Amino acid sequence: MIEKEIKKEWMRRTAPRLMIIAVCSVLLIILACNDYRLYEAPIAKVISIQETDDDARQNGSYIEKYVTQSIQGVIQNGAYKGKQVSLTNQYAKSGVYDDEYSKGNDLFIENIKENKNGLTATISGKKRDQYIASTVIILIALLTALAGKKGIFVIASLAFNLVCFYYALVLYQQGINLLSLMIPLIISFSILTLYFIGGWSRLTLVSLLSTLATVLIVIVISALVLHFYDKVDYDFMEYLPQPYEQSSANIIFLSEILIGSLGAVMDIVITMVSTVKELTVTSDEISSKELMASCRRVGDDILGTMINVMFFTNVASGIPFFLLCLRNDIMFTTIIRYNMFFEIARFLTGGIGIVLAIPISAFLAVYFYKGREKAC
Amino acid sequence: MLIILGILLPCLILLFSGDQGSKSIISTVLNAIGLLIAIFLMYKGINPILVTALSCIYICAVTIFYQNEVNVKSKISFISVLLVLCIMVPVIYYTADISSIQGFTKEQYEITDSNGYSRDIDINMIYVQICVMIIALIGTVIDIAVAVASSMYEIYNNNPDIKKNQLFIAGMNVGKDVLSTSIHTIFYIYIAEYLTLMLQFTESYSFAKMINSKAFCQEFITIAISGIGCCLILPIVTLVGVALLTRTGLLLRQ
Repeated sequence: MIEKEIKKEWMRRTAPRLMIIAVCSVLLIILACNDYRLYEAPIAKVISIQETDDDARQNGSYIEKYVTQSIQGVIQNGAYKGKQVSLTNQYAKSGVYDDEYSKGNDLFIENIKENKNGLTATISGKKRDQYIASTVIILIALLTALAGKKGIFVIASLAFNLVCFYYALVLYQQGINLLSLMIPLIISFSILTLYFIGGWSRLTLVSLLSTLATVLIVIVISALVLHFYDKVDYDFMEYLPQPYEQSSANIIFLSEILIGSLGAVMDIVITMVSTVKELTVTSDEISSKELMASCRRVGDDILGTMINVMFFTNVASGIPFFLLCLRNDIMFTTIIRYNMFFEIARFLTGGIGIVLAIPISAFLAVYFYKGREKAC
Repeated sequence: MLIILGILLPCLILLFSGDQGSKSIISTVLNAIGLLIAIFLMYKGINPILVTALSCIYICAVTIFYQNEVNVKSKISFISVLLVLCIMVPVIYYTADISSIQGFTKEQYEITDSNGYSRDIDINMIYVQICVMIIALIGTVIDIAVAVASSMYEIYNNNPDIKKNQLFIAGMNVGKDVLSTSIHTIFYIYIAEYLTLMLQFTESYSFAKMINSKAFCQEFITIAISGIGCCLILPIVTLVGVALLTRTGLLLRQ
């Protein structure tokens, strides 16, 4: 009987909320898929494709098949709106550097020319903003539906963090030294995230101090190792704007280490400080020693899974490159030492941050929660 | 440099964490070996999706069962993670296929045919990208699942008469906090990973060009998919937890 009442409550309160979220999401996604008007560059929607096989190419023992697509599209915006256009695209079946297009795709086109058969143009790329918009909208919808207010705080926190990050990059492009930008950036990141998770409270303050202390030690260790060891070969750092100077590349690398370990450190710090707070609230008589022992047990539990998070998230994006190198006959040890160097370095420094965060946050939490009460 | 860091990390783990720490080190090493074997199998030509499926089961088994022993908590986590992966795979396949975010982009100007990275490698890069996105989210999903399962176990143990509804709500509440910190963790890791890409973008790309570029899409959609995976694990692990815990409790009382 009571369960039926709870179900009715749920239907009355939660279900309409979920419906609203679902409907809004669908509407926004449809909007994103049809935003051709916002673009100056002409966009063509693919209506038919004819494929013909080209000569395959051989690379050692691997045979790569090539295909040419003859594409008919309808232009969606601009001066030629509504007209049909003929396009061609050649791609390799593997898809390493090029893309296969299919019916319904939106493509950016340029060099529209008229000849006796109609319009032709060249493809400059695929329109992808609707996919980004869709996945982000679904993520926001899920967060709001599943986590309610806390989910909205997460979204707000990420949004503010992105704004800070973007602003820091803009300042960097205007010539300000990256290192002197990193310090306020890290502090802003920490304050924003911790505020959205814990509000203004002693918990947030202690977490903030522990986070900054840990991250400081991590960066000092990394900088020392970097300084006293061989010159790092930044040719393999993905996306690094070239030409680069060794010293500025070093700073970029250290910044990556700094930001990458920040998240994991905050996660651990929040868990530890919350535990200490709960323990001191529920049992006044608990001693500092017992607190530290409890912290140690909690730390042991979360250490393993956090290290795994660090490992998989960092290393995952290196897998395609790994395969590309292997199939181009680059030696395994070379790949690990040079091509995957930065991913592994970020994993290891993140791991060091995680391990250090446990004792540091435990010590500071016990001091602030227990030490203060002693003073009272 | 990697060698120094690679020695420093295990030393610190053993120093601060002892027994449990050594388990973490061993499970990470096992996971790394598993991943390398997976890459090797893909290199040899085996279907990447099949390899990914097998390595996911292996990774889950190693991380959950080796580190945390076989008990009802780890069984809850294991089943939930595999369920979420089953749901996510078709979603990821559809997304990766339709947005063409496989392979490498022109922003990675070191990686071209002329630098010795020929494109003629006869591997389906879309499948590889699916593998990447799944491996990227598996760490966090396991973390959330284990955390929520452990909490639910403690709650149930302290109050075996708790109603299913209340246990579900309690699990969701714990999960909301874990979800929040986990999403921030992966967010920062990805920002760090793509810092140099963002430097390129702010230097010379317009907003419209950036948001449609393959590189930005790869990054953003991977983050969003990881986030969606983290969100989905929450209700699933809570439901599986309620089901298994109440059933085990009933069995024990009989």
